[in-house]
Amino acid sequence: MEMVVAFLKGYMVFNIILMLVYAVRHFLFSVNRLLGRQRIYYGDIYSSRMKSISVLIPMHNEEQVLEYALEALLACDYDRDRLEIIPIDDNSTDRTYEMLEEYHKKYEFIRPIHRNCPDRGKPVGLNDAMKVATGEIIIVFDADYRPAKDMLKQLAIAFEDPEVGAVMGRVIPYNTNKNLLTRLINLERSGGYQVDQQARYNLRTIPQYGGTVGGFRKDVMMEMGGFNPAVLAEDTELTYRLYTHGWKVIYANSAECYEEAPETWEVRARQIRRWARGHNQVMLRYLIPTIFTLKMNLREKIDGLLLLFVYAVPFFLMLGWLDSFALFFLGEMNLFSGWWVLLFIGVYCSFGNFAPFYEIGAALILDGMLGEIFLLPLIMFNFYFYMWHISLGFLDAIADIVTKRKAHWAKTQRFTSTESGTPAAAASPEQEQAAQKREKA
Amino acid sequence: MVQKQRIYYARTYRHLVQSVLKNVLYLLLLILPTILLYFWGLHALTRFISEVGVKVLGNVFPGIPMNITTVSYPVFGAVDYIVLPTVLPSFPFIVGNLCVVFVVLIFLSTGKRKGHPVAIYLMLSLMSHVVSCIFFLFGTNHFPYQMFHFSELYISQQISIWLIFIILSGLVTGFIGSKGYVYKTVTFLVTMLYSLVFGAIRYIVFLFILEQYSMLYMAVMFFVLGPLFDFLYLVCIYSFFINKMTKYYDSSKRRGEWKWS
Repeated sequence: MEMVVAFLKGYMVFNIILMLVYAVRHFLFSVNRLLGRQRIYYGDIYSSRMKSISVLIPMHNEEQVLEYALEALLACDYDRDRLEIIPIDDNSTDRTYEMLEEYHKKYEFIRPIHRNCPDRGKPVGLNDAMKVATGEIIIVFDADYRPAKDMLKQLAIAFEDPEVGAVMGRVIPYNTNKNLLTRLINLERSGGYQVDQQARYNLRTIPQYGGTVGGFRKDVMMEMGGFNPAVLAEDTELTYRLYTHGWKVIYANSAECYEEAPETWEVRARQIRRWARGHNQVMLRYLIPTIFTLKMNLREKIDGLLLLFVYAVPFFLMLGWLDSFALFFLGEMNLFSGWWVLLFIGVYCSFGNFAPFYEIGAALILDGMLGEIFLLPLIMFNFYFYMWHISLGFLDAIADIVTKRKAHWAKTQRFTSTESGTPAAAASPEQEQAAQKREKA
Repeated sequence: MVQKQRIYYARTYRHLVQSVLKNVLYLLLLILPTILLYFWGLHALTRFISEVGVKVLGNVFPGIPMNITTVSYPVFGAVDYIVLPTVLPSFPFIVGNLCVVFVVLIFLSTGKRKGHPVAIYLMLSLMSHVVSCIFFLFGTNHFPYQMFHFSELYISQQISIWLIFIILSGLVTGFIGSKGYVYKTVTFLVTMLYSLVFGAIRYIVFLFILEQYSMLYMAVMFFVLGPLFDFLYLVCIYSFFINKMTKYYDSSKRRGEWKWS
């Protein structure tokens, strides 16, 4: 019994230290972003001959949103002879196929590819598209994103730096005022990009390529064998693959792009569970390479490891919660005989919990957003929501490794209304039949 | 063509001017003295809270023996807390609680509430009560705590939270630019004042509940209504502070407080 109690106490200490480490990390990021000298992106560089780019847009039943994304891209300021847009119609059963063909007829440089095969998913879709892409640089957008006019130039200019393997822009929800959830996501996004990503770029640690609103060198990616279809978080995997091969990922805070945030808790739950599953798959694959690679410096390794564990921490905290339960009913609430347990409890409850809130607060001051900050206390309840669903995602990733099962890609549901003003329905029977015919063909 | 009524500052790479000297002075002149004051007055503070508690609870439970005990911690020194008789739950009371909790759990896990963050929070919180009920159902006599254990654990936890809040409030208010020290000081003082009052009132209310309704609720008090609620009001006060600072730094008078580099 003593061994069990010692183990439970030991785990609690591990949890407390873990919380402290992440709290210090977030605090440093916030102070650096609020008060430190900012590392400016390559916005002031002009090139008379921009690199040729291929914009890839993975799509699966995107009739609700594809028009907005394509129109926004068409309005972008980039030499047409250096640009191609490749929408990847991945087994769609709605009007995606027809709509893309209409665009192709009107604009020669919009060259959709239509995938009708059982092997569905973003990584395989991107791999197929890269085989036909002619651009030196691949830029990826999700179908619900609406790039600003100068977005493509801003992202492409980064690759004039020969060290840069990938670039990531800032994501801002455009449906912020839809409901409480979208407003909370807006706060999280603000903290995540304005403070967290920019601070990591400032501190030369690991800014993360996020899978959309970003780009990478095609030749590098092809040399490395393309995306791994077995990994759900192909974006995180690319980040670590680039760093362990000696490339850098940079963050362009000025390259703002607008996304549709999930509008229901159910969709958000599925989204973060998928993210957690994918991120933890990457964690299990890249933990050892990150520690032993010679291509990363110590600072990058430390932050890289902390970033790898980001989606495992909620699971550890969940176990810690159960652990504290067990200790309580065993009458072992005093972890140590010493007085310093008092400090530990206080630090655990306040510093650890408060760290992300400080990042969001700092971001809102920098963004000049008034009023929204009053929603901050509600994020505390989100903590349990995230802890639960991220823990499920962590267990999914473990099960993927143990059972060697294949992870299937799941698209996030869209909420944009169609022209009629009502949300687009699922594909009609006629559309389904048309899709089946195409598939047979 | 739509014309903008106002051109806002570019937010992309802006940051606040910092003054290391002012930040250090803020910490030295406000936070450090508060920490010293805290250590100097901790015993008197816990004594005062315990005396108020005994007075209030004495009126509510006349005839029940209660007294104030002192425990001594290294560095912190002497700390007082209230000792009351332990009340264990009866069998029907436990079963009644269990039934109510199960009904609420079913309510929270069905319908539109299912998967909602507040529902998940309440369900996880109620689980602690379910475990407590099951424990008391089968092992009331093995419950490892007496009332004085709870009292001591609460006070020791609270004094650590007070100390950490002094440091935490100092850090989060002190490093937001080099102006607005009145707001920063007020926020710090309000946080600490609220923390003291809230911690004291909650202590007395918890003791009342445990004395009136039994130790069955001790787990809930630690895991649901404990430090989490300290953290909640800290975030509430912090959000008011940030809103104020956002307004303050974005006013035309404070243009000089921003840098773009």
